Amino acid sequence: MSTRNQGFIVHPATGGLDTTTPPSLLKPDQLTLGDNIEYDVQSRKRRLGTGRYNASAVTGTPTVTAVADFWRHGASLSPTQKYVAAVGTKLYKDDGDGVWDEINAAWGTGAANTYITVAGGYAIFSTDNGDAPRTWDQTTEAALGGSPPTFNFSVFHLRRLFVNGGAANPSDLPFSAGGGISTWSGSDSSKLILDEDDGDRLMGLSQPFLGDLYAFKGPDMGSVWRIGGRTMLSFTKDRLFPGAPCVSHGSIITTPTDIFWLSRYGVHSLQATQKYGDAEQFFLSHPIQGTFRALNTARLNQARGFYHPTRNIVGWFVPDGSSTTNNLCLAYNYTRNQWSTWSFTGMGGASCAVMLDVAASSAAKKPRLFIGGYGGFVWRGDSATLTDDNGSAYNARIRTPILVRLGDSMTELQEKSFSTVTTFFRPVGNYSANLDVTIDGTTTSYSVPLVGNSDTLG
Amino acid sequence: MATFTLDTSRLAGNEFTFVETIIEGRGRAIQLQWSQPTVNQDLDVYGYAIRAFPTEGQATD
Repeated sequence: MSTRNQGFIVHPATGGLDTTTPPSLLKPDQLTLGDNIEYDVQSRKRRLGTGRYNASAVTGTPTVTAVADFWRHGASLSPTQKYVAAVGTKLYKDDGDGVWDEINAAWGTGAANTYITVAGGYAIFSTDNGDAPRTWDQTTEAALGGSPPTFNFSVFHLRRLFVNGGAANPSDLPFSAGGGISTWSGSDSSKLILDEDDGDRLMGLSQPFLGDLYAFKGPDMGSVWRIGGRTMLSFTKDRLFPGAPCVSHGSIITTPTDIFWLSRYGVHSLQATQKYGDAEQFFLSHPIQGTFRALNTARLNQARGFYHPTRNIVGWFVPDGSSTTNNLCLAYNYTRNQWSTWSFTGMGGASCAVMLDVAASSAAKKPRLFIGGYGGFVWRGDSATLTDDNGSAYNARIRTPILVRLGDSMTELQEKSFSTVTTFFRPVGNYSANLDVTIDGTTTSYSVPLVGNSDTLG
Repeated sequence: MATFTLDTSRLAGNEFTFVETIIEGRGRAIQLQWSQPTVNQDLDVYGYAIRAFPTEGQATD
């Protein structure tokens, strides 16, 4: 039997989120909303859940300002793994039992930028609150030896600790002696000065990338520097380009193939910026500039990023709108060059780290996203149980562009009569999803059974 | 080779299927949104299709 209906098919729908382009100008396979989803090879699926790592909140429900995975070999081929964290005004460690044990009772503040670096067999804690850096070697907690600057952040490179110069020398890049993170004087320790008083200060450092370090100045005009060389006498500094002012050390993400960071204007890739400059059209965040512009720029210095190699994602916890906490995650799938947003229920990301499961056997360990919250909890992500926090629901949403042209005979100028919508999907369970259909501004809701409608044979 | 069990296994298998939802409406533009808000229920969408026909043979305005 013939029908007047014509088919408009978008399968596979492989486009990504775009909140910059007007919704009627996007391609049919793109998204105007992609919240709480991840991109698989040819699909969009609900992101994995989170659960509380520590069943009970740290006493006083303070903010988890930093969390890290601390592996130590010492004099053994079998390393010992601990988690370490800065929570409120204290430092903690965890032995894989989900209970945070105090190792320092009075350090830092829950409102400061705090970082943890693993270097030379120590976890090194530093903050911009003016507290002297602390160390822990899985046995003893103590001040960082020697007379280091009161630095905010650090990176371990070529057996040296590279740090920022602090308030007294905001454009300095001091480094310790080789093999001596407590040695800050003498012939093997010095500093590089990255154009002092140029309107900016040293905001952050990359991890070692292809043998070099990259230093990021900001937060006003911005510049990116490459720190090359292998010995104290051969270190070099090259100002690669101006612009893209970095907002925080915690926003810098180093992967094996690129370095990403946040400026007040967008998300940047070192590879793209070196090639094309810092014009907005070449921002990594260009497809979601609409979303980025809506962030609370006054608190972007609180942004924290992560690199998740097994899920092909880099992401940033950022404050949205007028929020004073990081209540939104911008997730970028770097194999597909596509963005999505993650909104968590009952939790926010004051800090984050991708860490190996501390309690799993060696063969079962895999990287997981851990999120440090504002109320004394650390959440363990990548959970197959699709809930957040302590069993709360979160809404995965996929929204198409506004489709006005469904073919040469159904153009923008012609009214259409719509008959059916077909959803192509992977059967996931004996339950349903919601389908909202909006025609010229009027929305009607339907239910799509996700068990599939194919019959059994027999 | 996978095993197909009569009266249990589905013809479409476990990796792909479709549901056609009857909708009714007239207009120039359409927008679709799928959402999954329920605790511990998944969603994995590959694409979509729309059946429609023009209500006027030629655009008149």
